[in-house]
Amino acid sequence: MPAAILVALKFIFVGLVYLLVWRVATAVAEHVGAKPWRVLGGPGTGLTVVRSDTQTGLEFDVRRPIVLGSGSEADVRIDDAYASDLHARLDPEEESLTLADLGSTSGTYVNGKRVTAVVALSRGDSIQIGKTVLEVR
Amino acid sequence: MVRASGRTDSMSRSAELVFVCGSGGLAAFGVLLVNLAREEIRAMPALAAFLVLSVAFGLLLVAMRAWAPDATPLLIPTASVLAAVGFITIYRLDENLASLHGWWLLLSATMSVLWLYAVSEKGLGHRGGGWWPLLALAAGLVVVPSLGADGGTIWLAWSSGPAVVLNPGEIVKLVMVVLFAVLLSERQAFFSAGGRYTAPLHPARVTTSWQSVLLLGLVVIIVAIRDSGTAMIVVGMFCVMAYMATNRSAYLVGGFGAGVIWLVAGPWLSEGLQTRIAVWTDPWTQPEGPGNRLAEGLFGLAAGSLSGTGFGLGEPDLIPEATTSLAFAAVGEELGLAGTVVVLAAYALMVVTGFGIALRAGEVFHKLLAGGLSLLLGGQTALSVAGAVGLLPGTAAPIPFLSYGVSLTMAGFLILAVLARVSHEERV
Repeated sequence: MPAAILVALKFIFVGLVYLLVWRVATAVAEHVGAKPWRVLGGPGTGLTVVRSDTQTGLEFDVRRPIVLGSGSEADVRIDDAYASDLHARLDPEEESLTLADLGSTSGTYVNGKRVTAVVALSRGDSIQIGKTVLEVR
Repeated sequence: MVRASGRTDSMSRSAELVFVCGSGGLAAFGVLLVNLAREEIRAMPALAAFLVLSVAFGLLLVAMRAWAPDATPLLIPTASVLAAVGFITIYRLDENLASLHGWWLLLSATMSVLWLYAVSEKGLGHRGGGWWPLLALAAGLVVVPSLGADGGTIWLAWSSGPAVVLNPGEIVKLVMVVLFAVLLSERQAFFSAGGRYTAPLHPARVTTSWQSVLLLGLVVIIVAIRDSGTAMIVVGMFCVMAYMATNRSAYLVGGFGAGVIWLVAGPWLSEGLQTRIAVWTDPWTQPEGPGNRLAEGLFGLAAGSLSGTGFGLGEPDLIPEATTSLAFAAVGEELGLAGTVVVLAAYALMVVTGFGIALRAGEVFHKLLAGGLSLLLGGQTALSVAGAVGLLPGTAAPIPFLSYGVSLTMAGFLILAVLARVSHEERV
């Protein structure tokens, strides 16, 4: 086997190792920069419907702004006669999750208090829309 | 329903599988290169290398998918690349040893799979209370053969051949990390309190006592087997993990002080250490004596230069312990600085991933377990590399995944399994 070919193969081998490690390195860089799992607004943030006539147990993640309502244009449909078409909006931000009422008729309540401005939510907060109650997890 | 898995890592499970097969391919390519350098073209060893690496890590992947599906997919790929480089280096030095190493890889993977299955039902627990029986059993397994070892040897040879040896130190380190994690998470208040529990019969002291006896027993064993590398790692591990658990910098200062005392006072206490330090300060005056180890390693690294001699074209067989504690020098000779840098980068990635898992974990026990195991992986590699390049007095510490060793390989795979499980539970 000519030495030149062996040298070329050696470089190919080392190059392959670099390629594989580089691939992991880029993935690790994203992993390290990612928000911790438990931080609100980070991955895993979501809501669970805890009381509803038809939707109890429904879960959804909030990884982008989500509009709740009974209309077909809502991102998550709330099956409740008292819910407006576009009822309320959830916004995941850097390390928080906020809720705004979109001028609904029956109002949106967080832990029993009517929402009049944008409110920051905490894990375990309960959101009431009509008769439907959702919990932040 | 908008239920999504929420996975944020930029590597999917199937990419991970492709990666593991890629590492198998890498091992096959390297083995082929070794044979080409010897003017031979043999397909079988290359195929075997591919199969061993792919099956061993593939098994672990399948087990993770079944019993730790939410674990980060970033651990196994790095480990598999390192194991591939290690396998080629061992094959290049000793073909028979490589075939044994292949079996250890498969056996270790099977053990990790069994461990993942065993914890799949109940999980790791909050404070590690359920680990005590397992730890006591593991400690017993370590203690019994260690007591049978004669003289200062730390290698236990089976009658079937000298190649099948068990270095209890490797398992001891792993057990110690779990032990520290359990102890520190259960008794966090006690370790944080400093001198507050001065009464000898204070409940915090009494309940800690029998666990401390087990701990002390293992320390005595390590001292008895005269494995200064293991002793250094274990003491260092305790100090850093105690710091992690309590945020008291006194533990770090104490650990550093103990290290300095060991370096200064050690030579008077142990002749072996005296030789090691003499060799470390001047490896060139005794090229045929015990200094040979460090000097030959340095010669190997120098011969490797920037890009290495190429697999099969150097003379790493002249380096003593090239398959174990000086594996780094053997890699450096044939792959050069380019190869050693990427190997170190891979270890750094594994440690970063491990600490990432520790930071995200919810429970103190999980944090300490993941942090401690990452530290063990990084610390042992650092100690071994520092010994090979002459930054620190040489120890017998081998490098996980790169070096040959039954218990080393087992410990490496178990560390992967435990980290995977902690990572899984963090997201459940």
